[in-house]
Amino acid sequence: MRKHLLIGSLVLLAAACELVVDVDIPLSAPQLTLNAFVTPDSLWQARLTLSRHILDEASFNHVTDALVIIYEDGVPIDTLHDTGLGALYQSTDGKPAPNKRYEIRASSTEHGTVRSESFVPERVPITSVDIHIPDRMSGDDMTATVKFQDRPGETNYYQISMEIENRYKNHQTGDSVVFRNKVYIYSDEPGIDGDNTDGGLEILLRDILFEGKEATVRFKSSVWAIGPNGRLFIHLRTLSEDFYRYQTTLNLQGRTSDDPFAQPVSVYNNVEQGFGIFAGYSGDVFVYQP
Amino acid sequence: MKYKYLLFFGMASLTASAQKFTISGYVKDEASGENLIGASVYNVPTMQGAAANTYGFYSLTLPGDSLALRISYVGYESKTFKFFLRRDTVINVELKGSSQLQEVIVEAGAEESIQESSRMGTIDVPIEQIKAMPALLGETDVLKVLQLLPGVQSGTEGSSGLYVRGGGPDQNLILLDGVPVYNASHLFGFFSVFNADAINHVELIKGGFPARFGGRLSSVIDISMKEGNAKELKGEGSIGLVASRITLEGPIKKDKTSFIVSARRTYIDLLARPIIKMSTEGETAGYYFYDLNTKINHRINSNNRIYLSAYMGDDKAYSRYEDYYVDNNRRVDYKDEFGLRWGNITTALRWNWVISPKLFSNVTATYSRYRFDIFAKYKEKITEPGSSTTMYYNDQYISGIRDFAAKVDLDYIPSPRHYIKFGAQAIHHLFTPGVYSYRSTEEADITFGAKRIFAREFFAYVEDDFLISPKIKINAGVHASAFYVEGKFYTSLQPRISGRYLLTNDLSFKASYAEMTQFIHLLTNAGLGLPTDLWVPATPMFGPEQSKLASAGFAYNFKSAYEISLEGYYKKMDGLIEYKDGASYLNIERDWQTKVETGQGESSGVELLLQKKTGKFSGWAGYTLSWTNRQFDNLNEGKKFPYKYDRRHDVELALAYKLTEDREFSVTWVYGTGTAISLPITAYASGSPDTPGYPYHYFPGSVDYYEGRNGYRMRPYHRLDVSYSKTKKTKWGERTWSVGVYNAYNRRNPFFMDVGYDKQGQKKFIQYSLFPFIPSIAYRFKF
Repeated sequence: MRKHLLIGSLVLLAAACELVVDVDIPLSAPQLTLNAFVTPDSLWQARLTLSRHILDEASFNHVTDALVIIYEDGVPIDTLHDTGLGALYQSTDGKPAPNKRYEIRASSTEHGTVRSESFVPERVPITSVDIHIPDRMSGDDMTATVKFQDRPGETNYYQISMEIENRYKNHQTGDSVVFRNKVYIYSDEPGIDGDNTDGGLEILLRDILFEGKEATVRFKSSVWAIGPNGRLFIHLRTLSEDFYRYQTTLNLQGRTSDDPFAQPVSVYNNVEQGFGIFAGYSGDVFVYQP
Repeated sequence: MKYKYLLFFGMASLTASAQKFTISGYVKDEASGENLIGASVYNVPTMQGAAANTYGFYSLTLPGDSLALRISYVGYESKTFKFFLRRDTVINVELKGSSQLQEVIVEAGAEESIQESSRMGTIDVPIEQIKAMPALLGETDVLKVLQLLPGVQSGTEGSSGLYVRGGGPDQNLILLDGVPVYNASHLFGFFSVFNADAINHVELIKGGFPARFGGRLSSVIDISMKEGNAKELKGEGSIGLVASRITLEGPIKKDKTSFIVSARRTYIDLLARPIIKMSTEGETAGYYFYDLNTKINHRINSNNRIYLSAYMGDDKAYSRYEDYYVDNNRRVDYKDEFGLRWGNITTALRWNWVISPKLFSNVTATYSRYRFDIFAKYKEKITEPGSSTTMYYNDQYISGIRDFAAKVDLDYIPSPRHYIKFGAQAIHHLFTPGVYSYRSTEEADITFGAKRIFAREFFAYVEDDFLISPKIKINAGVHASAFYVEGKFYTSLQPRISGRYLLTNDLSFKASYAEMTQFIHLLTNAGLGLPTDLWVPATPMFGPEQSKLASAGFAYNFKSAYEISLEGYYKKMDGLIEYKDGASYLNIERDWQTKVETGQGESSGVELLLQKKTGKFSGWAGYTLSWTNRQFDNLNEGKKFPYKYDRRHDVELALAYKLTEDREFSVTWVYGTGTAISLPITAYASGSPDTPGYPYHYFPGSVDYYEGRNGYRMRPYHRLDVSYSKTKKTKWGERTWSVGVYNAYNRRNPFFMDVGYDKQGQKKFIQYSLFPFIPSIAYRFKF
C-alpha cells in the first residue's frame, strides 16, 4: 500500500510525458562473458557466452571454441574443456584448493582473450542450526537460527540460503520424484546487506558486527510446508570478496530495474577485456529432517 | 578688524575642511516609496561615494567642504544637492522613475559599475526585465529567468531548480526578505514560488561570496519583497492560462505605514472539477497551488522602522470519493481520500535602527517551514438500528524542515574607503526527514522511518569593502559558523576575499576566493527535483558539505551601457551525499543514512556575460564552458563520473526590445549540452554457482551493463521562447495583453530516457519529452 501511495503520486508527474522519440545507441562488437564460480567441492567450471546489444532480445550466444586455462602463481595448472552443455567448460578431474588465489584466462580466436583472478576461501563450518516450525494454523513463519564461528583477523563474506526438498510419488510409474527448490527467506538481522525486507533467495552478509566471534543469524521463511520425508537444506557459503560484490550488486540491479526513481546499479565485474565474474567460495550444509 | 574677520572665517573654513561629517539617509522611489537598493550616492568633485543597502539606507562620511551630492539609480532621474557640509546631515531622497528603462548615459562614478565593484560572480537583473521575458504558460518566473544566466544550469525540462557552477539545487541559499526558502517550486518544479509582482529586487551571487552569507556552497539568491506603496493605494494583477494573481499595496498612514498583499492561485482544478465529477460518478480530483505574500512596514521615527513580512504557499494534488450504500437496514457511508501537498511558510519580523549616521543595524527574527505530506485516508461508518460503528485507516508520509532564527546585522561606514558589515545569527532547526505512519482502527499504530532531529546552527561574520587605492579595492572578511547535532559539534572558519584592480577606467581585473560550509543536505532522487526530496542535517555519521571556490576574470564597461564580464573558476566540494546505487525513494522503511554515500565534487569553467540593463533594447547574452564531476568511493567503482548536470556548453540569449512606448517584444533562446544519464548499452549473461548444467536448461539471467555512472549524454537541449505585449492606458490605469510561445520551433527536448518498446513491439530506447510548442496569453492590469 505504501509503495502504491508513493508511486501513485509520481504517476501525476509521469502523466505529463507526452512525446516519444527513438534514440540510437551505436552497435558494439559482442564481448566474451566469463562466469566461473569455483569451489573445492567441484571440478573447475566456467561458462562462456557473448554479450549482446542492450536492445537485442535474442538469447546469449555460446562460445565453444575457447581455450580456458587456470593458473596458479602464473603457472598453468589445468585446462578446461567445452562440455557441449550450455557453454560449460570443465576440468577433467582438477579442483580448486581452499585458501589459494587463481587466475583464469579464456581465449577465443574470434572474440579475443579475457582474464580474471579470484580467491577461494576456506570453508567456515556451521556450528549449529535451530529450526522452529510453527503450527500450521498459527500462520506464523518458520524460523531458523544458524550459528558459525567467524575466522578472526580477516574480512569474511557469507551467503546463507535454504532449500526445501519434498518427495512425491508418481502414481503412474510408482517412482518417487524429488523436488528441491530454493525458498524465499528474510531477516532483519543488522549487518545484512541490501534491502532484504522483502526477502530473497539468499542472505548476504559481512563479518563487520561479529569479526572473529561466533555469529548468530536468524532468518525466517513463509515457506514451511515440508511434506512426508521432506528435508530442509541450510547452506552456509564462505565467499570471496568478488563473489560477494557480484551477488549483492546483481541482486540490487534485479530488484530495482523496474523502479524508475532508483539510481541505476552497475553490477560488479572482475573480468578484464570482457564481462562476467570469476569467484571462489566454499560451502557447508546442514540438513534438517523433521 | 576686517582682516581679523577674514582670518576667523578662513580658520573656521579650514577647521570645517579638516573635520569629517556624515551624510546619511534613505533613497526611495518617489511614486511608491519603495527602497532603491544599490542606489548610488556620491560627491561629484571628488568622486567619493556610497551605495544604498537593502533597506535603501546610505551613509557617506566626507571632509567638511562644498559638495555636489548626486544620487542616482538605474532608470531614475538623478538628483544633485549642492551645499557646504559643516555638520552631520540627513538627506532622505526620493527619485523619480521613468516609465521605461531609458537609454541613459551614465557618468563615470555615477554607479558602482561592474568594473569598479570589488565583488565577482554577482548579477542583478532588474525586476522589470524579468517580467518582460517570455514565460512558460505566461507565468513570469524569477528562478527561470535566473536559469538564463551563465554559470546557472536549469536541470530537467521545465524545472525551476538551479544548478550553479556544478552545485546541486540544495546548495543555493534562496532568501526571501532574508528568510531561507527550502523548496522554491510549485507544480513539481515547473514554476517557482516567487510572485514577481511582490518582488522589488533580485540578486544572484555565484562566486566571491561576501562573508555575511553562508550556509550553502554554490549560490545566494537574495530576493527582496516590495515594502508596499507608501504614497497611494495601487494594484496590479494578471489573468493567465494557468493562474491569476493580484497585488494590492498602499499606505495605512501615508509615508509612515504601508502594506502589500499579493496572492496567486491556479484554477485548473476549479475548471475541471465538474467534468471530473460527471465522468467519475462523484469523484473529485485536482491539483492547485497558491501563494500569498504580505508585508507591513512602519516608520516609528526617522531612525527606527519595523517590518513584518510573510510568505505562505502550498501545492496540493488530491482525489476524493465519497458515497454510501444500504444493505439490510444497514447504511454504510464511506470516504476515500488520497493526496499530496507541500509548501513553505516564511515570516520575518525586522527592526531597522539607525544607531548613528555611520552605524545601521537590522535585527531580524524569522520562521521558515517546508513540509511535504502524502496521505491516503479511508473512513467507513456503518449505521444500524440502535448502533453505529466507524472504522478508518490513515497512511501518511511526512518530511520537512522547520527553522526558528534570530539575526543581527550591522553596517558601519566610517569613511568612503570602508564599508564594514558584521553580525551574527542563531538558527534552531527541526528536521523530519521522512517519517511514515499508519493508523487504523484495526491495527496498532505504526511509525517508522527517520526520527526527528533537532540541530542548532550559529554564525558570525565580519567583512570590509575596502578601497585601498583608486585602482585597488577588496572585499575581505571571515564567516565563522558552528552546528550542533546529536551531541556532535561542527565548526568552520571560512575566509572570503574578492578584489579588483582597475586596468583602465572601464576595465578591471578581478579575483576572489571563498570557502563555504553547508550543514544541511538535500537527498534528491534521480535528479528530478521532486518535492519528495528530503532535507537532512549533517549528522555524526555524515558531516557538513564544504567548498573552496577560486575565480578570476575581467570586467569591462563598454560605453557605460554594456557590461561585459569574463570569469574563470575552479570549485572543489567535499562531503557531498548521493543515494547509493539502487537506493530508492520508494523504500521509505529505511533511515536515509543507510541509503547514502558521501563523496567529493569539482567544477571548473569559464563564463562570459554581456549585459545591457537599460534602453529600448536590453537583455543579455551568456556562454558557459564547464566541467563538473563527482567522485564517491562506493559509487562507480570509486571512479570519477560526470555530474548529472555537467554541461559542457551552455548558451543563453535573453533580449527585450521596446518597439514603441506601449509595445514590447522579447525573445529567449537557450542551448545546453545533453544531460548526463546512466543508460545500459550492453547486456550479458549473469552467473550463478547454482545454474543447472543441463544443455537445454541453460537460460541465464541478463545483466545490464552501464558504461559508468552518467556515462551517456541525452540529446542537446535547445529552445526558443518569444513573447509580445501591448500596453494601453485606460481611465483606471493600464492594461497589457501579452501573447507568447514556449518552445517556438517545437524541439523535442529530452526529459528522461528509458528502455521500452515501440508500437511495433521492438525494444528501443525511448526518450520522453515534456513540453512541445505551447502558446500562451495573459492579461495584466495596473491601477
